[in-house]
Amino acid sequence: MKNFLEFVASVMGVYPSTISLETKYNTIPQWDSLMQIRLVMEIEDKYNVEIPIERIPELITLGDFYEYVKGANEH
Amino acid sequence: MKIAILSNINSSLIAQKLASKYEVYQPAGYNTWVQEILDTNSELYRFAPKAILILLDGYELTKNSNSIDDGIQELNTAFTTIATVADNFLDSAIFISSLDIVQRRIMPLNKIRPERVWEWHWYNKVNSLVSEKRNIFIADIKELVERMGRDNFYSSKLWYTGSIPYSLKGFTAICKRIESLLSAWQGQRYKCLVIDLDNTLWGGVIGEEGIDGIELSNIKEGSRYRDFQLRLRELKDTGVILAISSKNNIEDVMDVFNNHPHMVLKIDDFVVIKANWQPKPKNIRDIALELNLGLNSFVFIDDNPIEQEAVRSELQDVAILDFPKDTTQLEKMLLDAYERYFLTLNATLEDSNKTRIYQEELQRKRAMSSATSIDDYIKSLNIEVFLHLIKEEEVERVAQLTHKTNQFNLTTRRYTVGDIRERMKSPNWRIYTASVCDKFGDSGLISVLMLELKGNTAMIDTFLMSCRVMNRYIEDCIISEVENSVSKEGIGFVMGEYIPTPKNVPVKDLYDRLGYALMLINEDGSKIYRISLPSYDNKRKKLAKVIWEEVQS
Repeated sequence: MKNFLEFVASVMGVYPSTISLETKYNTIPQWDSLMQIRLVMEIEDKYNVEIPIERIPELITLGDFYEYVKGANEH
Repeated sequence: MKIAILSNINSSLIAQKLASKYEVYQPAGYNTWVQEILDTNSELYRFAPKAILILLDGYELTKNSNSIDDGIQELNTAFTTIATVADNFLDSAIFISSLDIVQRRIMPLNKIRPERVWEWHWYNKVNSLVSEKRNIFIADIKELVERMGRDNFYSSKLWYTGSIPYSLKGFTAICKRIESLLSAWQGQRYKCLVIDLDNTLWGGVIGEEGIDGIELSNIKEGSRYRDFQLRLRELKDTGVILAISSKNNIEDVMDVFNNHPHMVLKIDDFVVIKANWQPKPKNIRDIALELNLGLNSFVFIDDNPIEQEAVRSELQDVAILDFPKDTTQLEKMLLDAYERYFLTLNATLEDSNKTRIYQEELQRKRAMSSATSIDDYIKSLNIEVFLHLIKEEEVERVAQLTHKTNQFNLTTRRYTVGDIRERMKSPNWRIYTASVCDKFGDSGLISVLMLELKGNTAMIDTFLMSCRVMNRYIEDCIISEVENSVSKEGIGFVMGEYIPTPKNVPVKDLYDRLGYALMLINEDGSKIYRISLPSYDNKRKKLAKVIWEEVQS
């Protein structure tokens, strides 16, 4: 989880300490709609997962992304 | 540098990425590039970018076209808009993307694919503009796609969620390409490539296997070295200097160059050949000294990791290519290096003659070591200096010199083609250029002196000279002639300026030597000098013949 947050922080260009799994889409200036797309693309690439377009609207917090990656890797 | 990105797709991610290096402008709103160009009051014109990237997605441009002709009309309309940018930004670089039009339409096999026709139509259109204007270049995005493959380059998901057609890989490749293009536009380029011979220029060790044993041929395995040599020769023709550093006997090396039927490179393609048993860092240092080039303009190729490490640890400024484990990738290594270190937008005449110019320079050095005194040696060169006000066809070379010249450069001010043109138009500026030739050959345009007239004073804004012709007192001749010329116009004083940099130490006392009086030393260490005209200074050495070419302005 620490690695995940560190990776997200580097994508967003923020300090890891400023984000957590509770951080929500559109509540920090760095995470706007463009960053949402970027996150999908970077996370897909980094963790070798596929996030279907149908699931993207459900990914509201970083925890949602984290759980998605964890779930996908278990299968 | 200020750059603008105009696009018919969402290019925000690219803009965001480039913003770490450049000041980036992109129009607000989606697909507003046409309005932005046509409205000369738009933010684009206020922003005044030095480079404009027009990144167009071919499918988007043609998606509503129902026939080949329809699509061609669409493309022509877009192209007319682009030609407007070219007319309105004469002094900025404009990079127009080639089109990759994904074949998404379902069609029977016996129909002509319109995508291919459109791509080719666009390519021809762009190239007609490229050949007409000096500041237009193609950003060959299609070539990137071809290399990577469409399945890797594009992402449907990002397209439908964010109007971004590219995948992460595609987006990264585009950004990398743009950065290469921009640094080529800024004139940042390495100058010399030092190459090893055994297992690099050919396969095997010449000293052991002999000329018949080494791998180098027209076909099959040996042709990987031949192809590598073909690319090296092309690289040389863009103005990169080639040199050899090899642990070998010179006789063996000459035998290959003179007698191997499949050698592409000839001995004349190299400026310096070090075939000896010295450590390579020493050889490279010697080459740098002989050519008067900084080590940070050197790139090194060697198959041996120990040699690579030796150079890496001793000469940190030298770029070392990652030699492939699989030598079928030799050519690719060089193509990547071209993009990274040597990319050229357009080669000037000086660039294509560079090897010859440096070879002549080495002959001079050898003549010098046999002369009795420096002055006698310089006189024996029979130097002629052709001095005149800048001509239109020299603008590019002059801008290039302001970027490349570091040692003999009193103020190190960098100017673009646009900056130079602006000053040419001003009645207060004089830009002089000097070309030099001597008994060994023609060095071409090697010195620039830019003056700004203020009342009865002429301020030397820029005075630079290519390091190839330094130490021949050519500057003494140039400055005297220029002083004479402005004196006739009624100028009473010339002021000179020295702004110290880590590299221009060789000219730190130039104005003192030329008889100028020190007026002021600023806090940053820069110095202001002055001389009153007409100047009578006997300390100047006039060892060259000056041919003053009056050009009507």
